[in-house]
Amino acid sequence: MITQPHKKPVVTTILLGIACLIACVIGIIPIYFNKFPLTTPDAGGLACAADTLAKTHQFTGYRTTTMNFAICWTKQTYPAVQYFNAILLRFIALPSWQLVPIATLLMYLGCVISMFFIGKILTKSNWYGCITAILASASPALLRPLILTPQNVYGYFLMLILLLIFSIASTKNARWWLLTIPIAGLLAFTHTLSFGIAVFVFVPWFILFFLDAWLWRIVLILLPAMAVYFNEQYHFLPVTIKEAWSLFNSSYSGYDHPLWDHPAIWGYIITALAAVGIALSTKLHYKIKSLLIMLIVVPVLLGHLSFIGIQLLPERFVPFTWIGLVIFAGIGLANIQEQLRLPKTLWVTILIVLASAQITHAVVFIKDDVDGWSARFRPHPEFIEAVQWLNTQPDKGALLGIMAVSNREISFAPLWYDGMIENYPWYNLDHKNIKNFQANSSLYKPILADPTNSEYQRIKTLFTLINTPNDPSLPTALTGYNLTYFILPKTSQAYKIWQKERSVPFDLIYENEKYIIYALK
Amino acid sequence: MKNTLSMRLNNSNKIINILLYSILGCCLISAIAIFILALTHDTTLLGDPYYEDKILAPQRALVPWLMTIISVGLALLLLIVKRLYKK
Repeated sequence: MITQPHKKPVVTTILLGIACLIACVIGIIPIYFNKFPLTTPDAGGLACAADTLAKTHQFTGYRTTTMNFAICWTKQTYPAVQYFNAILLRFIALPSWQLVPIATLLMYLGCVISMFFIGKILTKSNWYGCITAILASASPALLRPLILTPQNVYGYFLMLILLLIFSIASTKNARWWLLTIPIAGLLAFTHTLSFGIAVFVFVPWFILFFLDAWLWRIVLILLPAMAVYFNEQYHFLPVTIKEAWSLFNSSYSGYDHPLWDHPAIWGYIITALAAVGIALSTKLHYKIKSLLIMLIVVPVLLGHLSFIGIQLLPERFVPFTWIGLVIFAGIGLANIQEQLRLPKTLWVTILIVLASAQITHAVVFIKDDVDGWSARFRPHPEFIEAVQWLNTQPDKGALLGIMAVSNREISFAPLWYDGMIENYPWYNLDHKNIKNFQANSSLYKPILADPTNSEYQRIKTLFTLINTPNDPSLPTALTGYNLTYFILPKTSQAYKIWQKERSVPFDLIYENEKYIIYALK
Repeated sequence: MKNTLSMRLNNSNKIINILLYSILGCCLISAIAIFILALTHDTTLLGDPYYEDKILAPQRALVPWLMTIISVGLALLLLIVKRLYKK
């Protein structure tokens, strides 16, 4: 096992305190950037649902969607997370929109502390546990759900508790295996995706790598098979194999960046150190090493199913790799220290530089998410002002609103709202592909593949309006869609295109600091 | 016999040390590049490669990306050296 450079509990406490402090600071940064505690519609959906549950003891039946994002979660959406936050609301006198980020941050801290104990147990070294906790607190893949999908942090936390129990049971006391059953059940109830990945990692590892006797292996292959059979019959788990398989074959898709691009998500320094950890962790027991490697390999494989033609939101799987990577990165760093034996002052300086760079990456990563995601869901005051002005106009025909907030999102919106506007489209027009109707978007691939499709025609008309406002066929095309107004953000690429046109055949009827409205009829 | 074993161990240690110093160097260069990229205030450079974004990491943050890839390559070499000298 790895040598401990210190044995004093006070040093461990200070280092673990630093890890928790980093987690708290990083957890608060998105709130600071966003100037509002709820950074995404998911957090808003949870706050609203927990509030309803706490006050009425009933799940909310109200669900409004903005591009599939729930405004108020219903009974089907992570009920365990709703229960947890509703219980906290009963005891803590805070409004739900303040409590949800705090509860998520607590889960995040739980993840960091769990990583400390996992590291400590696997290597019998407090020092290594502390390094793992510090690296975990600055892992972009753990921070991302803190901002975007709080339910994932709950999933990560329970998955780490499960890993912790596995670590204790496999290295110390086999009776701990019994604890895995209730925790796995809780994980299944709380977060199906994490449960699915945990099953794909832990079950094969336990049967193939942990057990030594073939008899037990056969018995334990039969048991899950029976569990799957009964689940198919009686549905005691939140998802059946059939449902899971249909999800894998559905139209859900996400980014599918090549493997070599993933260090951008995992963290450059964490990835490099993890590689060293994998290469040098010969002192780890092969069973533990195989478990940690499976924690990396399984999410990566699940995230690349598109290679064999099946695909389900790859970006949901790939970040799970952070758990194995961070543990190996800690081992890597500890091994470098042990092998090179640098002077203490130099070593501490190097550690501070590396940790600061990783934290910097994580902070910029968060800021990008906050700018790219959260800001998009909060309408500019100028946009609200423009829409309010439009709604007072006598002609309340169809309305097209386009919002430009960040600069590298989906090319353009294929939809618009009819009648009074209650929501707003959140795609922007600043993408580099704006001039290309055949956008790279995988979301539109099925639509763009069929030029006779009515949705294709709608998108094409919208694209023509944005890109070539003087196109002679445009007025005829527009009449087919009862399109009355066009709200154009001044920061959008569309605005630049329209500015370049000498004259557009539409009347400018409204203008404020950030938006322009043209009458299309 | 003992001398040969000791020489082999010494050689292996030297090679491992050189590889580890190189990886540490790559990590430090990567760290400096991260600081510089962060100071540009363009969050997209070190940001989340959002799923519709086709601008990949090497185009956005070449130095830290390249240093990471080199480090992974050196770590692979480390693994091979470790295995070779173990035999």
